[in-house]
Amino acid sequence: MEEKVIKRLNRLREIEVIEDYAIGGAHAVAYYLEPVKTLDLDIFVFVESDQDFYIFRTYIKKAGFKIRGTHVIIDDIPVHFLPGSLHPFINEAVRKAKRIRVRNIPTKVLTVEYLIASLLMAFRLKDKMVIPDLLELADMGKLKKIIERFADEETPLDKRLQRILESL
Amino acid sequence: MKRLLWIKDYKEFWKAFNQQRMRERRKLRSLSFRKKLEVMRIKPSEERR
Repeated sequence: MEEKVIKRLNRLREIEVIEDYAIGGAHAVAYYLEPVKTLDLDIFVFVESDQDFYIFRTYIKKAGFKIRGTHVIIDDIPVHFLPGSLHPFINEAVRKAKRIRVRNIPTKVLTVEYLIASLLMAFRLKDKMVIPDLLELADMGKLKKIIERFADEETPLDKRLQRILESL
Repeated sequence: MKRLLWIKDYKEFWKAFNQQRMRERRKLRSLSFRKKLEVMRIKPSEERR
């Protein structure tokens, strides 16, 4: 089923409704670690301007996809779109995402370093629980550079990472 | 897993439990992404639980 969503997203990229996208959230965690059951699919969308976001939003509305809460239902899968207009981190994560194939369908998944940074931003219990295992796969130099750029007072990624490292 | 049911010592139980759990996790981690996606799906019958 996710393959159908991926095909649709690739189509949206071809017809230039979106510039690029990458899989994040639990599905990206599952790419690197073991799978855990989840309700939705998190898709990071590259959005350069408000105009781009408007085009994307209008398309979703006109295409007749059902909207349920914060999700767009595509082929029975609740998809949570995270547009780059929300935070510059999202665009950078999509740009640097890893190219993969699912049943030979090309797609992208966040690199483990950007995935960890996104989990440090959300920092819910379920995010904190998977970070230690992901850290084993990460390039700490790359991760620290990402964190330095995107840490701020509201989201102290550096302090959050430090707390996780101290707990190991 | 059967073996766990027969362990009476608390420490031994958790040691065996964690070992079993790690084996299962490693097995799941080694699956292809396509297979992992199948495992992740919540079936409609599971949604209301």
